[in-house]
Amino acid sequence: MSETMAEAKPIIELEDISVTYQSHVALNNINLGVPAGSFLAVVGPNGSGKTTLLKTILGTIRPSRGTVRVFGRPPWDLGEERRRIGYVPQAMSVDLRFPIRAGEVVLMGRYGRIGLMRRPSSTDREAALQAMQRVGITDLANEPIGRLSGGQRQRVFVARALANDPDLLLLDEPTTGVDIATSGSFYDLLYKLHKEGLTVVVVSHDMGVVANYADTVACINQCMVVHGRPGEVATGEVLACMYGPRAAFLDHGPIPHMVVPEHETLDTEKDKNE
Amino acid sequence: MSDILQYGFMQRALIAGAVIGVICAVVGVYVVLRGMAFIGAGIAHASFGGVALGVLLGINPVVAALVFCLIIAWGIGILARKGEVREDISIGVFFAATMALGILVIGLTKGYQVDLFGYLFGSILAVTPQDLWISLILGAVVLSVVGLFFKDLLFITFDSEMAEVAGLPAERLHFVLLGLISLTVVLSMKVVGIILVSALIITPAAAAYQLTEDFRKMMALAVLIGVLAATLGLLLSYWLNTASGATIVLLATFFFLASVALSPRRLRWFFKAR
Repeated sequence: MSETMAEAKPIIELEDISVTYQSHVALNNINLGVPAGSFLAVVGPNGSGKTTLLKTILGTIRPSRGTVRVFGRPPWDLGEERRRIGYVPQAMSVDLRFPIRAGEVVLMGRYGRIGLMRRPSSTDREAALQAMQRVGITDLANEPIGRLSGGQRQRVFVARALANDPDLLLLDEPTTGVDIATSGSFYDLLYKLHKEGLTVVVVSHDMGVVANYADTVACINQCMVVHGRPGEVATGEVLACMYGPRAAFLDHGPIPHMVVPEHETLDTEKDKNE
Repeated sequence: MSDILQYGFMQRALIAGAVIGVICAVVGVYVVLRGMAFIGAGIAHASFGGVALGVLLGINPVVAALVFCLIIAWGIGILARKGEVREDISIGVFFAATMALGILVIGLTKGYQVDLFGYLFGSILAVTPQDLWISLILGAVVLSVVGLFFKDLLFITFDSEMAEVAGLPAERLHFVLLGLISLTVVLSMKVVGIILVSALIITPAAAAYQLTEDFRKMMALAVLIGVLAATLGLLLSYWLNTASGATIVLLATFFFLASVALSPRRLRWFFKAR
């Protein structure tokens, strides 16, 4: 996709989005445009509605108010174009003792495209293999997923999303539970995919890491706190809005560190997704 | 050995046992991996109400049980889907209610001389040529459906949310599985008995789960264990003059315990710990 197209029309458009579960407001009046080819990090504390935002873009949650458009249409109404969205769910959402090998998990990315009752063709297997090459896990194809490390497993799930050759990749907390070095090399991979032309949207509660990779950061806490370049959004005001007024900040290095004296303001938040 | 095979009832029971061993194991793999053990037991108990109604109305009890099981299984599924009643709650309610209905109906049909113990606990003498044909036909239906939807059922079993996102009808496939469980219960109840049939669905698959980290191998091993338990169990019950269902299930349980002891995962851990 060319730059001019990206400027002409964002591939994700959220206008005045609100999502309400029973009486609980998960998202309130969110506006967001994501141009093609960008790398957006959605950050916010637990329970801020990050996952809800991702699922709204994915079309599995329908907003109670506002309009969502992905590739110019509501995401639940994309039909064949749905394949252009790749999704990597939260790491803990699958049973790690499930008897299945990494290569088969990647091939599953093609199952929707193949359709009910039909068997994968050589084209499908080729696409799965290419996806594994892109994330550097071809040697793991025959490994049962239970024997993979957290970082390897996340690459398998990225490869599964890539097997469909998407234009947009959505990731939900992809580095939860992996160490810092693994997390760093995982974001290196996302950055590489972004440079290859993929639009990447990653949800994380770890602003410190994603800010080094993303070209845009959206801070949400039910409502949009701020949306801009990483350098602009890491201000005390924003963090105070996200984490509570009593948070203090140590400004040294590119990202301010935060000291929170008491945690009850955080603990009152209940995250449905974690 | 050869002398008992001359009896028509024994031949029928062994063929039925082998068919049941295969079908229960195949369906059991999905039941175990999807965590549907409780609904399996619920559907099995529902078949009792169906058998009793069949006797009262003069319909073939197997056919009546099948219709009844499908209504209960899909009814529980529909209630759970709409989020009105949690699945385990509605299973808990219908589990007992259908048994109660069966007991009530049997009270009304005192005049009939029906070997109800055959249905409740299983009996090798209970398998008529007609029952054998019904088992073979229902078994062929179950295997064809599993064969047709093999990759799709694997996908929803491994990761239902992703299957939905990929555009597969995850919910309808769940209903297909509920239907397969109903068919399996009904084709097994004459030999294994209503009370124990859920064990023959779960135990061989649970044993196979201990032994491998590959989905197809798990299914093959479950079939092997299921067929061995069903056929050897029938012969043992003949020699020991014990109830066939109980003998089969206890033999399957023995295989399960042996698998737990010999699990490669556990042995690896054991030797690593030394």
